[in-house]
Amino acid sequence: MKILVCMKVIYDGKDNAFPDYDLPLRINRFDEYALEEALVIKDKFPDTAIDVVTFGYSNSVGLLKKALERGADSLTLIESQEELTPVVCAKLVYSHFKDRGYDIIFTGAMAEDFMSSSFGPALAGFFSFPFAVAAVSCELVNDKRLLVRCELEDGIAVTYSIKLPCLVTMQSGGREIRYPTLTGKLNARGKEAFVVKLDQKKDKSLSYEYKRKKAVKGILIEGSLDERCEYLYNELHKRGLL
Amino acid sequence: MRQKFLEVLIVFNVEDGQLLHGNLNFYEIKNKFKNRVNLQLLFCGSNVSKYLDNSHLDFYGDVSVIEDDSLPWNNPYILAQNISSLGEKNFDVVILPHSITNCGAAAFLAAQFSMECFTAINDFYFDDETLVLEREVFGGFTERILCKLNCIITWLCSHSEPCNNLNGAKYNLIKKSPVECEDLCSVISVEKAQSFSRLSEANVLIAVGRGIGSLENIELAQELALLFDNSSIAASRPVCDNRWLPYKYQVGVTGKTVSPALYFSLGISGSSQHLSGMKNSRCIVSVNKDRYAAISSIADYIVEDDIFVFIPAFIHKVKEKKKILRSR
Repeated sequence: MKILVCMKVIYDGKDNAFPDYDLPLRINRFDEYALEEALVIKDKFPDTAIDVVTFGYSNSVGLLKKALERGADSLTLIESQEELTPVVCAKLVYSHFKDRGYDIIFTGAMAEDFMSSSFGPALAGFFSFPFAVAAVSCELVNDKRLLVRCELEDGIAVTYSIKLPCLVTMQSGGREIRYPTLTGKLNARGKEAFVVKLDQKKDKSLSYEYKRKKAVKGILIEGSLDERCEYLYNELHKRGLL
Repeated sequence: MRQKFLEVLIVFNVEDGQLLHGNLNFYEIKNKFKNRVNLQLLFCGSNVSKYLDNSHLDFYGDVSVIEDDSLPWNNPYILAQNISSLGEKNFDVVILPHSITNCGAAAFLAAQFSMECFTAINDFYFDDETLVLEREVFGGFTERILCKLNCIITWLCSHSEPCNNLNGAKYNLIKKSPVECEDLCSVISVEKAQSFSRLSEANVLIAVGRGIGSLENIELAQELALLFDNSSIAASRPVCDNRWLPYKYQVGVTGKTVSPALYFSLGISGSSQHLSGMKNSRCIVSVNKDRYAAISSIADYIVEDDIFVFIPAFIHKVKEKKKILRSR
């Protein structure tokens, strides 16, 4: 079984500081669950090979070594200085890995910074793989199909049976994330990340701007603590809520 | 020179005769494209005929229908494969109501159609041959994307009520056969949300986010809830992921969609997934350290403070007021 796990390293932004590129980095929470799901399959089928790929900054590698310590077999960084859209990233990952014969690709359900939820399904589109989104657990059946339990809108849980090769995006909370073992840490020591440098330029037909959204709709309650409590009480009282 | 009309496709999924992910207003969309648009509609799902019979669509143009009562339409792969059966035509923009299923289908299609894909769009407009899309990103920032056409978007501005059913104007109905791909991705079971009706029945929801900090602090929200009649606590997804509250309390795209009289949020910054589950609440109070947290864009009252400072003081104030009212 060959599995590709796509992981993203994001800036650990405080609410009022994004996008500030001096912030510390951390692994996207949903991608930790994607790796965990691959590791659970490897626990049952030890011949499984797990490749991890990340896209972005060269300083991601240090953090993603944790994936190797947890049990992944290889780590590839596709290095790009440009901010690219999820669909373009997916296309570049596809063009690099299309001939590797993966049985399953896991990604996080979304990245916590841009919250697009589109990288995984777009990658499935390039591979022409069947896919499922927002999964909380997977189970391999006869090496041919994957039983995937997904949490969709309004708390509806759907279990799919997907024929391999396939792609699954993982929701958070389905399993406990394992810590690296001492053996895992020792094994990871000798492994280096493969770095692929790209000169992909941003699509000139796209541009991005960021602006702080002002709290325009509501009333910002100001004053001393007591004044604010009094004001809010009166407003809720007037509305018949208190 | 006469400007080119834009080809725009709007996709709806229907389950058992009802729209699954809300409605979109065709006139609003036409206006956003300055009326330079050929709109086409596609309805995919089960019992679509029942929906069309009941909705009296006020629409002039092509309406394509892909109907199969046996197919699992809450499956983004099957939905995407079926939308792609219209692929012979080049669309400038494809619009779907925002949902997890539709996000998946949109991104898959974008890859197959060589288009771009932008999800959870709050608002958009068309200006100088450029489509300007606005969406929330981490930390209350709005990302504004300026793109040339050729993109698929999922739009958060869906209406829970019907908004196009006025005159039942004539439209050109085109029936298409569903794409056979179920063997690749079939549905084994569908479980409805755990029947925890408190969230939808409660008049007041005290919702806690990551800012509540720990399991022990949930008590503070419970104490606040006790001040209101017919109230319940609720949570954002990270709170449930941390096992501070069970998932049945979760509000948002993967949780419950609610519209209480009062939604009192404590330490919730407001991801688009959470906001889409509670934005129709009649009154929203947000207590957050950051006045510019995303939830402030829809909140009626914003308190910029530490919840552990403000809420105990507020509870004390309400108790004091109630005591005075009782003694009168």
